[in-house]
Amino acid sequence: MNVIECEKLTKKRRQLTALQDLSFSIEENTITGLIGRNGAGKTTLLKILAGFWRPSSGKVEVFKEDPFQNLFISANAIYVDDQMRYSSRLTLSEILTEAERFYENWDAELANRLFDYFSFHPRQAHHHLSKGKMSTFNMIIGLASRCALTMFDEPTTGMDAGVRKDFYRALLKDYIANPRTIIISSHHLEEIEDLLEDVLLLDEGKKYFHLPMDELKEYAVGISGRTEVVMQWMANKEVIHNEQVGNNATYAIVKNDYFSIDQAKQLGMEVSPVSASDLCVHLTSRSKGGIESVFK
Amino acid sequence: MMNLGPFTPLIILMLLVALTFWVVMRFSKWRGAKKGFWILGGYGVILLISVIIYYFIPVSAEESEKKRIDHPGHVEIFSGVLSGTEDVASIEEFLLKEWEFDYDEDTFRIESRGDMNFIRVAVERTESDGIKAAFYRTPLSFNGMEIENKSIPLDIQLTPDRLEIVSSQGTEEVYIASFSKEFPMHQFNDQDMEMLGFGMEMGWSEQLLYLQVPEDIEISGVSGVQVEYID
Amino acid sequence: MSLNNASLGSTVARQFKYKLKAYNGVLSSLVLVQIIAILFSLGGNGSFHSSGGSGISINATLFTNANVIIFTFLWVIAHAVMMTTKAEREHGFTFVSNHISNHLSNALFLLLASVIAAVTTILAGFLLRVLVYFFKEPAPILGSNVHYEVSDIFTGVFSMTFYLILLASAGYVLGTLSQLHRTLPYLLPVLLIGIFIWLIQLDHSLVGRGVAFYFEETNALLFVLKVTVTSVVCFLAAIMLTKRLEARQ
Repeated sequence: MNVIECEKLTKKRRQLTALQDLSFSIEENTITGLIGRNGAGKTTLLKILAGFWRPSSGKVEVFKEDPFQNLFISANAIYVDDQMRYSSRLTLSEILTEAERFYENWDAELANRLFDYFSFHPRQAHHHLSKGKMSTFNMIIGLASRCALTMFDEPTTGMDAGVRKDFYRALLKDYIANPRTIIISSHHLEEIEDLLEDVLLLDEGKKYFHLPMDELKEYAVGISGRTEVVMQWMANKEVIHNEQVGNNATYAIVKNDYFSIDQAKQLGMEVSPVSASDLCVHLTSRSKGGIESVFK
Repeated sequence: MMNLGPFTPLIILMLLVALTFWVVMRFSKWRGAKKGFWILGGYGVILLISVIIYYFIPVSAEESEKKRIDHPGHVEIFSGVLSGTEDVASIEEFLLKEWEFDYDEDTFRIESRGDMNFIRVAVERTESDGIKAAFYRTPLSFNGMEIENKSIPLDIQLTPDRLEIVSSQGTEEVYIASFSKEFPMHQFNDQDMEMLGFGMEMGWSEQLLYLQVPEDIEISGVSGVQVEYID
Repeated sequence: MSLNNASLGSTVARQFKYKLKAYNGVLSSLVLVQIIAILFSLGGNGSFHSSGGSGISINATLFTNANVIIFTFLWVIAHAVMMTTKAEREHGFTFVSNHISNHLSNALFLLLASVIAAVTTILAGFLLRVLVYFFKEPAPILGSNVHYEVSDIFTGVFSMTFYLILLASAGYVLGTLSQLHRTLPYLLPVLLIGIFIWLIQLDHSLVGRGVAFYFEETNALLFVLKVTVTSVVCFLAAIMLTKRLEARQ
């Protein structure tokens, strides 16, 4: 069953087009990574899915319903970001108590354990938390609410490396124990690539691709070798990225069309796999040549 | 300096609005869900205690039993007597003090000392022997409630050639705390609308010194006081 | 994972309980506002000094609870407006909710706040009388209207509640309106005052008639009906105004 279905989803905010003709669907009980550079439309998409924002045109369905201001969606989909604000008059433990009242599937035990593990103080105020602590607390809410659709928007903002690792472990364990549909948006794909089953790559509000992780890993290969050899070899292939490395060598990322790797090796070029994270960065880079081109 | 007089209520209102908003905003940031309930609870207890104490204050019970006085009628009470259409006995209930003098001379003067502006003096010629004086006063009322006033503001002395009315100087200070009920209490009461005003209505006493002088004694003159003769 | 159905009723009930906790500071501010008002009242709202030449000099002071009523009116408006500010609206969408459930739970909270405030306002009249009786120097004779009938208390609480509901609803819809555009919080008060002045110039009695429409209604049923209809219209307007408004901007 598809939990999310979007068709030609477009969202304009003032003059800016945040999302453009976005069509995709997400199946039940999967973990999808929503990847894209800053301003690619990740947050916009998630807020539309959570029912906070209204699409300008196109169709969006979550659990077969229009999510905008929909109580059913609100009860079954949670959106977690670093902008989550709670009434400043409630302490952290009071917020957890309140959340329990609202979410039917709330796992109080998990919430309390995580609360203790990350050593929160029950009487602390949410708005006095540090950025990382706030993200951690929001993450606890997101996990413990056990919503059928759980969306994390840049969940690790401000977290230190240790907490980030803990978070991903916790997420995976809880996902296995209680499967549900999870979307994580991030621009650090390398951190979450082990977690993800699918990747939805957005670029300037448009879908670049929506692929299973396994396919993404074989989407392209890295080729390096003497510049003229590489250049000649690339001539009829889809080049994603190329750069000069050293004096007379070139590194290129080429779309994997199942060409003969052996042939390439015979020509004296080295073939290496490309990490999904690097690939996504290069796919969505504004201009060929990257930041280097600015300083020429 | 600019005269801010007409704007004062507006300025006060603005300040009140600002103050209230400030308090609401300030307190709305309080943390800890229980504090607010405790404060409200404490206030509620204080209010309930004051309700209980209130019912032990004797005045609150007395007021409802006290007869209300219709003050605008006061002036007319004495007019019947002053115009001679009614006998002085009809105002018996307002009598506060009486004087009686035996007088042998043929003539006397009426003189007064002190402020007599608030006392009317009437003279009736009678066939009896002595001179009689009587002081009448209608009750003093405040917002319809009678205020007890036993003081006699004058004294009368008779010397061989004159009758002297001496008004006393001292006045008694009376402090009154009047209340007005909260306007929502009058919401469903047609007659009570005029009670909403913050006005305070004073029903002043009418005071009358009534002199009965035998017909054979001549009043040779009056000074310091206006005398009305009863026909 | 199983899907949960959230009915509007149960969601409103949950949000109402949440708001009871989140807005308890409002109750503290009510207490503070009323205590300040009572302190102002202790000075008296009018005084009168006269000696009528009958050997007595009257010093009368009028005490009234009007301060408490006015302060409480302002308090409920301030709170209703506060509830519609952006920050508060965003807090409303923290957990399971939508616009309608948010407005309805706010309405319920304002209703409860109005009842509580009406009770304390009327009881404050007793406190004022007790304070004047025991602490006013020199000890005064208690004059008129000291006595409350039991019916006074019930009528007072009842109609005070409805006045508060009326003002809260008006404050709420104006607050909601002012949130539609970022210039409105500044523009709207000016606009309202402008319209007010214009109306007075147009027809002197218009504003008075508007006030009298509620104030001079002596039929309890009609009074309740007028206030209820006005409040329902205000909240419906608030719901309509925010129907297409996006949350978590």
